[in-house]
Amino acid sequence: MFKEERNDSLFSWTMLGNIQEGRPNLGPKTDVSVYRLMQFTLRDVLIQKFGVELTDNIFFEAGLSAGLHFYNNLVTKRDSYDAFFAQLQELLKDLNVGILRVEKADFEAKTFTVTVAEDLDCSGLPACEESICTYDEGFIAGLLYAHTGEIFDVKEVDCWCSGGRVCRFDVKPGA
Amino acid sequence: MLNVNEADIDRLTEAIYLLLKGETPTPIALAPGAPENEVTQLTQFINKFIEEYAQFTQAMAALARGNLEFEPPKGHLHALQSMKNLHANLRHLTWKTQQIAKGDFTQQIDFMHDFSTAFNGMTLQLKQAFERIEQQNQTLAEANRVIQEEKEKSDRLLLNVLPARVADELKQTGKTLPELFDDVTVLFSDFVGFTDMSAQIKPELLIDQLNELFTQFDSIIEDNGCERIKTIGDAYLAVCGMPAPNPVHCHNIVKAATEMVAWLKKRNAVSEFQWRIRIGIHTGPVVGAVVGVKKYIYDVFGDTINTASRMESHSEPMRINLSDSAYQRVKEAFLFEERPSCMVKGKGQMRMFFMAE
Repeated sequence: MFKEERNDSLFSWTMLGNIQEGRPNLGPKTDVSVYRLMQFTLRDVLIQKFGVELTDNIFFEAGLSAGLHFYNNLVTKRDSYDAFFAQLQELLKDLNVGILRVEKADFEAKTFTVTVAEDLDCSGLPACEESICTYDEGFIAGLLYAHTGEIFDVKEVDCWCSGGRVCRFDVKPGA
Repeated sequence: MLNVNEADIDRLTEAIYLLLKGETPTPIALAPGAPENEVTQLTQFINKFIEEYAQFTQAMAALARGNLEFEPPKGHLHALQSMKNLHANLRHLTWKTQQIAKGDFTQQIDFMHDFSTAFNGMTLQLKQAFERIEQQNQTLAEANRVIQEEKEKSDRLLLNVLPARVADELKQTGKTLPELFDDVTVLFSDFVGFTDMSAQIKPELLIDQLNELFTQFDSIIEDNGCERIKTIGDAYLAVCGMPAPNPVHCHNIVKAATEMVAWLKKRNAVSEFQWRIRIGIHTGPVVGAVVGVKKYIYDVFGDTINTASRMESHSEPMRINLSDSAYQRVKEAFLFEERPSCMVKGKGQMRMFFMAE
């Protein structure tokens, strides 16, 4: 199930398990540093094995898959962009992922600028002139693909690591 | 030992002085071949600061003017980051407000302290006000629907006693004036032996019978573009050519009369009660007017009505009797037989024509 060889994705939401049953005392939440410990050690090893570019691609694609499954399993308000963004904002807040804010949205042109404050991946990281939220880029692209069936180009233009205090993502229709 | 050029220190001092004075200095030019020393490094840092500070002040000024349509500059200044946060929040608030303006009152602002409380409170108030208005609109719509239904009822009632054109005039102006119509055809009918019949059957049954007969007559009259004016006991008075002019008024009335007789014959063949009518038709001028103030009745007046009545009384059961003036209008369209001229009370000798059976 988890360790089968594969060429296509075998991920399913059930792989997350029954957390309530499995963690009756500790519950579904953990410390952000634990999440980051896994993310950055994983990134560290991946870069060693495959280099920065391929590692970024891996994180983007993992985020894309996460966005798709997140949408299909948790997002219920799918009638319009307005309702979708409103629910997404609530979900990310309730799950302590980050504070999503829509700065600009042109639904006809399908261009958006969204920010994520207190982002799970990067808020508080040391400044290093790098945009680190590749997984988030994929996650947003996955959500929008699930919502519209269309490919979007998501680019992080501000990141805590590059000196910002929020992560800002520019979204436009993909090539 | 660091050699410090006094002029370099002056330029640095001037730049800092201008910044403190609220002005934006131009970057300090480094002399070609300037040595890689602490002064050069300080100059480069101050130039970098001047550049980022200039971008920050420009963006901040735009923000202060309410302009949110700019891309915030890059940089690490803490003040710049705070401004970018403010810019992002204001753009987000703008978007949220647009959503609320579109009617989505579920939109909430989070993590903006007092502003969130105030904004969300305002949204809630708007939601409640909107719901109140919606409810009032529904109540109003329901009241309008009832009023409209009542109006339609009263219009229908009005149309039962007044011709449509007269009813419209009365509704729009509150009054109608008597009007002379030069060329109108009048139909008068009467049931033969009605008085005897009324003595033989119960009043309720009699009224039922009359109701059925007159309802059918009304239908025939309406289908032929004519207007029922009134019934007087068992008599039935209808006109054509007024209040709306109709060039084929006589043709329409005659056709309606033939249909009335035909229907009655068919009915008599299967009914327990045998009714027979006499019909008289005459063409001439008529005055139409609404009579009454509270109980409106549209009535017709003039010698033409009396003559039509005389044509009816000189008719025979299940026959249609036309005066000469009516006959002249339709003699080519229907078959007639001329009757011997009759002495008509108050009119003298008159030519009359039966419609051929």
